[in-house]
Amino acid sequence: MLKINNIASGYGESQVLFDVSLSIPEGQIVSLVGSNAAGKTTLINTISGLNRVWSGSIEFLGEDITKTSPADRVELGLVQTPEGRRLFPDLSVKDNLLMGSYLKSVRGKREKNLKNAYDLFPRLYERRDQMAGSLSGGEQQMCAIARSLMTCPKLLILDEPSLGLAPILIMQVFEIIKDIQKENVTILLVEQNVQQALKLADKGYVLESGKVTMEGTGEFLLHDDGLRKAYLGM
Amino acid sequence: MLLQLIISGILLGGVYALTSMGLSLVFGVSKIVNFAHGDFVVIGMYSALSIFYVTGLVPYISWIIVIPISFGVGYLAYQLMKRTIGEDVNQIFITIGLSMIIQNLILMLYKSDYRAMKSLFDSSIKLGNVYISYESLLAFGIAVLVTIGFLWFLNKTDTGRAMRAVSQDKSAASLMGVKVEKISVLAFGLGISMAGLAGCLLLTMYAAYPTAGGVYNLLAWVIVVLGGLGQVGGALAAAFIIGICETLTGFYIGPDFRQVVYYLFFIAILIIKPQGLFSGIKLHKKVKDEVTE
Repeated sequence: MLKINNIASGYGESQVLFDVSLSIPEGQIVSLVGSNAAGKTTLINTISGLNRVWSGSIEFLGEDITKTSPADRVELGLVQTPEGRRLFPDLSVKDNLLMGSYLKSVRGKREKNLKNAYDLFPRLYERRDQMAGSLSGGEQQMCAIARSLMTCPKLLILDEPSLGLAPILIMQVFEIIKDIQKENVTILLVEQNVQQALKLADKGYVLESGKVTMEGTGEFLLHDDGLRKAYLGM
Repeated sequence: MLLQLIISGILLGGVYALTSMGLSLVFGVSKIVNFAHGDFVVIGMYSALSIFYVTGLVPYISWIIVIPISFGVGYLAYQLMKRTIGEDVNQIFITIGLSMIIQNLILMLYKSDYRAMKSLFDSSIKLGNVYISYESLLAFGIAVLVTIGFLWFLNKTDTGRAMRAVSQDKSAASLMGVKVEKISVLAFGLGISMAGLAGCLLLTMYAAYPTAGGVYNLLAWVIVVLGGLGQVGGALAAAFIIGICETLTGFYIGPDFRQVVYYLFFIAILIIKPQGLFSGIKLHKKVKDEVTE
């Protein structure tokens, strides 16, 4: 579904990604793990088009999107739930969700998607008129995920959905990710929570200092000694 | 007498509100620090004046034509300024430069004379002890109408919601499929349209002259900063405060002191509450970095 071919990218003069390639098959959950500053967020921002590609190419659904604008990529079904939730703090929860269906192509399904979002997260329905900035961390994460689902994604990129959440909420978020996959949404999950992310994944990639150093099925990576030492402290 | 002054102040404030809401929009959404905003007000004044000379249409009608003219002017100005987005100092220079260009262009085209519209009405409404001129009432009515329309647009339409979203987080908005550049241009054009409309309405009360923009430039900024930068609702409230402040000093101290008093008031607020009068009234605290629930 998504193919990244040997891309390099970065900010200003400093290169962050070196010759990164990965492919995400339709219907799967693919996890991208790595430590802080490994380039994970840079990579997905490049996939979303917020960062320019220096060299290499990106294909989505067989189409070259290397130079497509971020807004047009969303239109194709490539949707990102950014790190730190990035809600619009001074917009109500409902307005945040409605922003998710800003595109004309999904506006027709707005009512239905809104109902689905409230069914999936009843808490958001209770708080629909509250400013998003006043939600708790867990609720903000729910709101951010719900907002992305309003866009009818084909590929959903989740950047650190477990960041800053209490353990019980982390479990809940991972359950929700599984549910989303069942709705035929392909998922790219970026996580520092390596064990959980790989357990869930059909396929995993390890990113270190801007390079892919390992790839394989989630199961395979979870049992790799080097990885266990480096990330799981075992 | 006090009541009379307060009512006149409110009527004037309605027109100022248009200017400052426009400036607030330009600052909040398009991220342009615009020191030529008052000159766009004056362009509105002279547009209305020219329409009157050519067709005989009075400002109460011609505002419908002035708005699209101003939008066009705003669109062109945006093309000039868009490269400076993100560089505040350059924006201040470029907009002050633009302000001079506009003032001198008007000087060239219309000479330096003060030009005013003859009053259309020779009486005013009397309510108890309070006199209200038809001019200011009509201007106020149009201003209120447009303000309501604008707030409706901002709160209820998808494009309005996208403007608010862009002002809060540009890249998050683009992740929703919002074309940020398009929204920016639209917000700028809309902001300038409101300035032009304000100019059109002010022409029914005040004379137009080429350098009048200077007064309105600072006035608009004072109101926007008082209301809390980039907050449209705050700018609305602050406009009424400045309007009332102006009529009160005009009467009790003298017309020449009007600006002195509201600048003193402004400086006092900056010392006591530098984030603006209304920015503290938020329904939420900034939630960031919390680890537990």
